[in-house]
Amino acid sequence: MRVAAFVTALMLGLSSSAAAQSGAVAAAQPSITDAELDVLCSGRIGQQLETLPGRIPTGVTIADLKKDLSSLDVSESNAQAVLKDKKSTAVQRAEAKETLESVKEQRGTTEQTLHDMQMAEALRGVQECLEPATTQKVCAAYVAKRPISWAAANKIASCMRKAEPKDPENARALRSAEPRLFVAEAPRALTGTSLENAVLRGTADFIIQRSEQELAMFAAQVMSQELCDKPTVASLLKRTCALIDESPTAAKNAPDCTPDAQNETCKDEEQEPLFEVTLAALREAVRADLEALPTWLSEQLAKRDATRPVACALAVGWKFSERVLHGADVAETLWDLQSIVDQLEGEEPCKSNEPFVARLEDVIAALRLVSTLNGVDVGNLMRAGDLDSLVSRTAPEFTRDIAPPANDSANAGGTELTDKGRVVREVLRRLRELQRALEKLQKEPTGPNRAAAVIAALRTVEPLLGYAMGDATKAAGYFDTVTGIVESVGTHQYIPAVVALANSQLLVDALGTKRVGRNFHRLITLSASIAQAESSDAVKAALEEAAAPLQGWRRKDIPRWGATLTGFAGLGLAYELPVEKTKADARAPAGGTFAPSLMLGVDVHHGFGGSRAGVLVNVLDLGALATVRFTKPESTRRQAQAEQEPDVRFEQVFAPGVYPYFGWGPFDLGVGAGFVPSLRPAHDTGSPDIEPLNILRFGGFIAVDVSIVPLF
Amino acid sequence: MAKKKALLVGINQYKSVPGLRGCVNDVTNLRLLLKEFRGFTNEEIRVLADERATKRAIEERLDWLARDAAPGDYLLFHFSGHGSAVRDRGPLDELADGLDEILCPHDMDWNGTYITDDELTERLRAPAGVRIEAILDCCHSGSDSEVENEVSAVPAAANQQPRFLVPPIDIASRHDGSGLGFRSRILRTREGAARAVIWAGCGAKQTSADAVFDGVPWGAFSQAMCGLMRSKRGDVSRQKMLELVRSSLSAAGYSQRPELEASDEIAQGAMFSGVAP
Repeated sequence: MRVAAFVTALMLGLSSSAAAQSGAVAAAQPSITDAELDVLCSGRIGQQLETLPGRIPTGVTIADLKKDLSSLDVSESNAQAVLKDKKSTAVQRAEAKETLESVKEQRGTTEQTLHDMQMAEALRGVQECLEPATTQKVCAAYVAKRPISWAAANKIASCMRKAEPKDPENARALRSAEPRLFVAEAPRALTGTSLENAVLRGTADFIIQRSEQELAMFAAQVMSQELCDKPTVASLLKRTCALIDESPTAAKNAPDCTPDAQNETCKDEEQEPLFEVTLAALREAVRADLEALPTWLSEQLAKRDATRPVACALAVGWKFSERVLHGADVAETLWDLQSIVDQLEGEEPCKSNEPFVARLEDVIAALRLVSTLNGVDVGNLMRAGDLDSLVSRTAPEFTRDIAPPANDSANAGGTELTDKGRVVREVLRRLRELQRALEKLQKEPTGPNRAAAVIAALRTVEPLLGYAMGDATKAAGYFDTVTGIVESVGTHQYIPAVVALANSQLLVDALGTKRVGRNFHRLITLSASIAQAESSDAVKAALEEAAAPLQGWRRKDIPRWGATLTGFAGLGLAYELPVEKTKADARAPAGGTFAPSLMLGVDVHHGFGGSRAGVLVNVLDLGALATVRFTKPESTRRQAQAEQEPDVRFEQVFAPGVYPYFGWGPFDLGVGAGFVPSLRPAHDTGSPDIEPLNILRFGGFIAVDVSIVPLF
Repeated sequence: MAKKKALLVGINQYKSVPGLRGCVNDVTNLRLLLKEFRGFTNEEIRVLADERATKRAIEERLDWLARDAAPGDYLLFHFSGHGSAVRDRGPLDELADGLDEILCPHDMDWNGTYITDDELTERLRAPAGVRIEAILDCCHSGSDSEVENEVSAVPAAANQQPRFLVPPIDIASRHDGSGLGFRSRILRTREGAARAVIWAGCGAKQTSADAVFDGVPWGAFSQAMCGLMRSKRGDVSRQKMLELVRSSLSAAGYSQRPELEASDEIAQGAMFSGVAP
């Protein structure tokens, strides 16, 4: 269970990042801007103008603007030329500078107009997508400076997503303007200026934010149990898991609160499953594990018969690179490649891999022939990269193995190489790159240069290994993956390294599955995110947001009675029944509702170890105002219509009710009834009078448990 | 050879007062029009927009506009942004309405960071024979006191916004409704009347609209003027343009009534040109 805390921490990093992002959006961006509504509603105003005798003539077009930008480019390059010309006079230079400044200003205004026009063009698609009734409602509210309902704003957002402008630039403009509307913003859409409104909105935001964090924590625990305890994952993150195992209060050591366990810790309210590994240590452990990713891959490949040749090839490659990086002569090492094979032949993964080793030795022997022709002088070796010119200087073995005799009917020109010959030529050509990389490393022994040298070494011997494996293309693919990882890790770019791995066939082969599980992808990507963090503060910021104060619901699982001030954020399904007649004797409609549920109340509960049951005495339901009806109101003597843009007042969200519930993890499932006075002002069509409705609500909810204050 | 120059100012974003939407687009609109129909090059045009259009920058550019002007030259100044009025500090106008009409730069404040009609007149001083044309698409840029605010055919909509800054109460309370506006100040001298052309987006007691057309924000007056100019392929006299713009805006439901102040001879001349008819 302690290992699980590591993954918990990693998961929290990802989840809290997402939560932070969402929060930032919620804080920084209104759900839809006045500017967008201006554009959206201009069609409606335009329709009015259509009926008038004349219209303002059309002005600039997008084509005009693009043409203008081109002309500004020309002016700019002309001015630049004057400045570069040494013959230019001081006056000409001054004018050129003035022109450059002016062109910059002119370009700025043109680009702004271009953006406005592209946006307008894109939003025309949105206008077409929206139902006229919605447009009318939104624009009427906007013109009257009333708030736009969440449901309406959501429809606008939906249409913005659906609209697919033909011009990619229009699409970009539209995407940049797309209102980001999250559940957390539902109360924000119901804006108002009163203190009541601010308190209600803040409370709703708090409950929703906490519910997101609770979900993150719960997901982390589930993931940690399912993943980090698996041998494959544990082998990938050896150092990190070892570190976590040493954490005394890690999640793995969280109290077992099942009735059978009789764990005293469960009765200690101060005890919380905190994560105490220092964040810097965590990051370093993850980094170290990811830096060993190629080794881990080799180990995985060596476990299966099908992939053992790949593992052996990689082992040869690693050994070769290890020697040259430790200062061994490149050419000597290459000619002596057989000694590496001999050394590895007796151990896994090359042991009992005879066909591969035999072919490898065969091609290494061909390679050695070149050294017999040219000695081992590196200069000669480089020149020997052009094997074609060496054909005439051949020993019998050479012509047989590498370059067939000129009188061979299939080799009329005498320069055609055998397969082995082509491999040898490629190795020699790549040897130059290795030489350059090693020289660079010698001058500047940095991490990236070292990684580049390792890559060059692997690349040098790759053709030999590909030949030995019998599938050069597949071998090249494997080596691409490995070198990609080495390169990224060498520059501390862990995320690209993980992406290179996650998307590779090599990983599939190494794990011996048809496809790599999504959870595995999530875990290693998450690991990379932690490893990529520039400072421990960056890791901390991600973890803290969702960490310690959460999981209050765990207290409710303790087998005893308790009471807690709790928020329930989720979805509710209910049948609403008006309990009084409206003005003019009009019977208000009954109907089903499916609505966001943001309830706040006192919760009396009893735990059963891993679950709980209780009764929520609900006081407020902030989600009630965002109700979306899914059955149309019945029509009686006069059609009644639900109004969805009320001002937010306590009386409207005051929704006393009783809901027995059952809880598991952070989730609660409840059913019950509530009384909702003044829920939605409803008005009779044709009458300006607005009359609140008192409603009885029967239904249930599924929600995230946000325990706020334990009462006893 | 006669030179031509243009300074175009559009301010949507203000440092400390409410912003507008269509002013920068007005600048683009007019700039393209000058290039297409009057042969202006990028080098002959200067633009100031938003945060770059400070009082100091506008003054410097006005100096650039008038610098080295010679008889036969054509100078164009266009301003799209907020206009307003302040108490007159000079003797000329105090007895008339006690107010100076002002153009509001990006860094506008009521303690003196604005451009008065007197300053504009001073900055645009140029030798005789230089044709100066100013287009002021802002509120209180005109002076025609005979035109009262008319009832708009289109109800005040959220996507229309006046380009007018409400002055502080001590200034507003002194306004007697007989403002002269920019044009009269510039044209007051005989020399000025002979060479200057002033376009105002609306009458002294009206407001110029910042509006949305086909989803794009523009100044109603600038958009109408530029659109008509394009539809006439640039071949239209100032007097004819005035008639067309007025009827076009009126037909589209705008209450503002643009004004043109120029001698008869100049009014018969081609738009945006120093050439005599």
